[in-house]
Amino acid sequence: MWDSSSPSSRRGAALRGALALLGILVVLIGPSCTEDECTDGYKPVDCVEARPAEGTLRVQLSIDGLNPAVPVVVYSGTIEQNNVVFTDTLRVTPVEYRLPNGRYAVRARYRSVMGRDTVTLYAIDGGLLEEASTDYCDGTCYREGVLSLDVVRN
Amino acid sequence: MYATVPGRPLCLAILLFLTAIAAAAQTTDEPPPPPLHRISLDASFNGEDAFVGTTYSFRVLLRPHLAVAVEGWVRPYEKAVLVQESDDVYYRLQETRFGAGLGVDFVLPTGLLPYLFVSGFVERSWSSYAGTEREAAETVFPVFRVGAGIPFGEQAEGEFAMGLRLGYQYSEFTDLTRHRAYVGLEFTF
Repeated sequence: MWDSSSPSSRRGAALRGALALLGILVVLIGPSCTEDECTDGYKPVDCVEARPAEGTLRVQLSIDGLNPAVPVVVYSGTIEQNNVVFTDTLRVTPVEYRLPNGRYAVRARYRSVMGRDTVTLYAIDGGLLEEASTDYCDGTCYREGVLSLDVVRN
Repeated sequence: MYATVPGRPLCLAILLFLTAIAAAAQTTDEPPPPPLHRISLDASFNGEDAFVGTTYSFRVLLRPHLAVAVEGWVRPYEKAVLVQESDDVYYRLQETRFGAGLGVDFVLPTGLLPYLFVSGFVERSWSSYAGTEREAAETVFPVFRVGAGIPFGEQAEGEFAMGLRLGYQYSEFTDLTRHRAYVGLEFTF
């Protein structure tokens, strides 16, 4: 199974083990750190080189018999910062909005049955809306970002 | 009609056979200690939840089959959780969770392969929720792990080796199912 070892051989084993782990890390992450010739290809003709300032906020929610119309509040930042961007009442899902890039939170209000009681359920989700990009040998191409937020009931 | 009763020689033969199997399964000498260092890439999961993480353990020289261990883990996705605010108000939040733990790892000194292990940790867990600054209550909980380790080949003195650990994990940290499967890819040296 395992061999017992002296302190010096243990130090040697530790050194060899550390070197082996280092080798694995170099193999795994090394290619991204080297500055060899570019292998990413070149920009396509439809490349957008300007960073887009806007993107799409996609809101996924639950529409059902108990909640045929769902009140939704969209905040800039977090709920607690209370910077309301707009409110809406939604009857379909998903819904998309075009918004400036930035951090957003969405809160949807539902009626929900818990046991024998009907309660109020707030579904909250948030995230960062930012542009997407692809690096090429001769530059970077940008696309508008999509932030999908999940405020379903279940 | 009566069943045929085996004679004394047959009983003795069975007894000798079982004794031979038991003797073959045991080592004659004190089994050598496990490697000094162990790093593993871990995953624990069940039908409701999954964590990935890493563990480093260092063999305690006074007790060669016992190692002290530290580990860290993260849930690699956001999970929807239900938080009760009052009797009639609930929040459904998207939770990110990670944690760290300190514990011990004990390899049973049977000398057998696959070897058997038992681990125990005290874990601290942190979480955050998307879109809100709400914080989850502090969570400190025990984790127990038991299972078998399968080295990928013989490990001679001073050699680096890899292996796989498979087992059961009990994590007492939320209302979720506490029973999990455990898989660890280990590097020992």
